[in-house]
Amino acid sequence: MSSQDPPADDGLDAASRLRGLGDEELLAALGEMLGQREAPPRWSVDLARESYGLRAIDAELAALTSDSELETAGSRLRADRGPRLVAFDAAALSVEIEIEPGSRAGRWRLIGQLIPAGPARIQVRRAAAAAPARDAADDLGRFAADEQGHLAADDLGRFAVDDLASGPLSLLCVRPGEQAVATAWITIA
Amino acid sequence: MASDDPPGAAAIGARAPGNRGAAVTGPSAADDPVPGWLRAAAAGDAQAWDRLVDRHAGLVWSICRAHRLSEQDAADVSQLTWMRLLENLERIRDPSRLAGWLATTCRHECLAFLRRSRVSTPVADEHLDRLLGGVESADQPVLAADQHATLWQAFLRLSEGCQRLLRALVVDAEDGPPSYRQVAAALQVPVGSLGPTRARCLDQLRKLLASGI
Repeated sequence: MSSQDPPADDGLDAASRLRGLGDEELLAALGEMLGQREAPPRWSVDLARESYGLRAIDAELAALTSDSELETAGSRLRADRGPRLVAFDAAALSVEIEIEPGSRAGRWRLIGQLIPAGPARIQVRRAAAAAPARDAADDLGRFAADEQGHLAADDLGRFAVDDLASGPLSLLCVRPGEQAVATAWITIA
Repeated sequence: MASDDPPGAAAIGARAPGNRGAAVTGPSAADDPVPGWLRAAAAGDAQAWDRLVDRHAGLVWSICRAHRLSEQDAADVSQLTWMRLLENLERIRDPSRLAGWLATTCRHECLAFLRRSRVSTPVADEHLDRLLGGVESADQPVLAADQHATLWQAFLRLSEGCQRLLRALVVDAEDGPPSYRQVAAALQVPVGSLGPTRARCLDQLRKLLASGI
């Protein structure tokens, strides 16, 4: 999937069904659509505005290339699945992560591997989830992150972090002498 | 961004033959501020980003809600949708169709979220929609979630005048839709123009739906 294209969608079917509606039916559909339009909560709009600060301007985007929870192969119960495996690819770096329940209930542990292997500084970027209070994390500059926002990948390119709250997440990988790489955002939950 | 004048612009700006009447002569595609905001946001202008968010926050939110996400889940998926835009700011191929891009992206993230959170055999989106549409039988929604998103995309590409008119015709009144007389007074147009204008705006909407959003 090239990143500039929205994902494939069955919008065309929906469009042709809508197009077939008579005037009154189409108006009724509009009425429902507009009536259903409750305003988003102010804090959620504020979050979206503030997220501009999370832009990784100089980083190359590592696109999401696989996510075990989105693969439709099996129909096993969620509990039967192993940890969630997610992979991202940039031109010169791949990032593979495993997400599993953390040591505290409702929290998550993330174990990662950089390919090619090598040391890196990794920032866990969080689009501050719904919690109104968010950590200042001054040392991370513009990046909002939890207290473990700074990680080190070892010489084998491995890294791990525990106690992550649910919500959107991206990793910014900074390797010596290389362009920084930011993974596409995913939601852990 | 490939060009300031994307191939779709002509179709968006096109008017149905016989279009007249001040009430529905909205700004043409050339006056659409969104491409400029996108460019500015990509170049580092945080205020332009705020405008993009303010303009489309309702769209993104309503698509999440149309997928029956709770407020918390809608907040997460909305946020993820905004992050997708943020990471693709320089890569939006057709800035005049940002609303469509956001709607499709948001819908995709809603479905991905639902798939992840459901303990079930994976199902086609259409089936999922039908399933979800059937959950809340209280007010029998006319629109499945995919139709909701599609209709939003088309509606947002109507001229401002048509958007205003259709909005006035279907919402606002406390007890049922307002009368033509009330709508005409509110929009300051002759009552007699409403019927034909309404028909023309609905035709415009169908054309947009047909144009492959």
